Amino acid sequence: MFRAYTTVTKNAVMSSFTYRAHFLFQILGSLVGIVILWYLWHSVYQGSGQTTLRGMTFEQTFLYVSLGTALFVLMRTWAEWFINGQIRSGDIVVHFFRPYDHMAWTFSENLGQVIGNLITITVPSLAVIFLVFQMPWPDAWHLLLAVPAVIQAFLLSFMIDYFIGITAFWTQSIWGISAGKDVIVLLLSGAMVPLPWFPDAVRDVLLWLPFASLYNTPLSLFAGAPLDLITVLGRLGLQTVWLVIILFGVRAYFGLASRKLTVAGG
Amino acid sequence: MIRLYFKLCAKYIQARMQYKADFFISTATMLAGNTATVVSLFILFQTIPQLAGWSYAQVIFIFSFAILAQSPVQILFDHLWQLRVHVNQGTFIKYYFKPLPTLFYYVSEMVDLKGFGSLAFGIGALIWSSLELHLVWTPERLLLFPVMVVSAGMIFTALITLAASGSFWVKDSFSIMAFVSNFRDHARYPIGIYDTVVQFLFTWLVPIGFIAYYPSRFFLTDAPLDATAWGAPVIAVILSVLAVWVWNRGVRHWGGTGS
Repeated sequence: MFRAYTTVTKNAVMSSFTYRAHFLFQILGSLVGIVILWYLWHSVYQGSGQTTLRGMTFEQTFLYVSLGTALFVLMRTWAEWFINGQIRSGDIVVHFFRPYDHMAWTFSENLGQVIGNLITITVPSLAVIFLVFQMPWPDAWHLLLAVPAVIQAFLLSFMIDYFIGITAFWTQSIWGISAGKDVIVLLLSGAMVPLPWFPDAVRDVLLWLPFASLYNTPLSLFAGAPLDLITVLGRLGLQTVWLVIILFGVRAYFGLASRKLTVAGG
Repeated sequence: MIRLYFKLCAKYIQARMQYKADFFISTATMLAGNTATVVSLFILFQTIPQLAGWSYAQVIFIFSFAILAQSPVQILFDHLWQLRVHVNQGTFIKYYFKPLPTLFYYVSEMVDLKGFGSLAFGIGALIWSSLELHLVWTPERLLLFPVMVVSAGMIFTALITLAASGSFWVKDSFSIMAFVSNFRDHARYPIGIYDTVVQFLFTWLVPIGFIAYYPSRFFLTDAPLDATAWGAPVIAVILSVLAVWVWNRGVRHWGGTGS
């Protein structure tokens, strides 16, 4: 049973290497984005005449936002578009009759894509950030804690995408809700402007919402003002809590959606 | 040809309006995206008083100019995003059978309604920043404004058309489109944040400086009308001619391999 899922993952990794022009431009776009961010934030710090803004140095802020872009590209698997395609073509029906779980199957495929992204886009991006821009490496225990933080962030990101994809059972097209989701997630998670830059009261609320778990939690480990262990463990725990809540929500939602499909089909 | 265009557009809108919910969600998303940018800038300017010498309201002016410049692409040329699908599946062949320029026929099949929401947002933000800054709209500026907006719109449209034409040669050109369309976001910042090398690139190689920053300067300051002023329409025309030429070459190339 498990073998079936790993095969799906392996195939997705392989197919992510197929389109070379696609990857060339994706890498190029990602790198240009990082360079632009460097100039933007460099100008912000230079214009202010200060070395620390909102408790963050230029290096910390740049690491936060540039790793944020890298994380976005890493986690972006367009699962909702894929599911939407299955719903529109009717292929999704096939999945109801097969002896595997649709969500687990989609996840296996997305995991393969993420591994592909990791090798082809994330590694070059990190090389630019740490070797070209000479950003300081985070210390070992921050790196160690960042591993579960990134994994949980990806799981959350996948489940939100899956949720949005299922919503296509009700709406006709996907662009609006998918792009709208991206806007909300990126703004409220700190991916556009680091959470520490938000007004204190707003930031304190946002830290508790699931969006912060996607970007701020992993990013604040790599970059930003150093955190003590208790805070870090607290945030990782909050990530897990949101993960469980959203998982149950999505499963219930899928049940609801598949009933609607049966009604429409019968 | 203009009459035909409106006929094709009306058909599309009619079809589209069957999905009202989708239209409202898409428009809301478009506005949310613009609002998110304004909110990010607002947060940024809570901490810093200026960005490369420009104030919050001035940066908003530049941003709204960029929205106006991208509106023609968004509203009239949105079908370009689907070119790769038509080319890969072979459905593009139908555009060869009409006595119309293919680019014209292709883009007129779709008009992006949600783009109007964005356009309205851009106009609103432009008026707000203009009032906030007490800008003086002299007759010269009022004359210059449409020239600058049209030039900026043409430059961005040409860049996107060039990127889309890649579909005729490269399989799955989505990333090329995404790559070029991201420059729209980079064009929103004052060029002064970049060093001289990047400034040169963004002026003469990928002329995104002309999409918002250079034209905005003439309305925000008393900058003299230099090369960046008369250069805008010149670059706009050159790039547009180039884009149409590349598109037509692509159409011929693809037709050749398809048969």
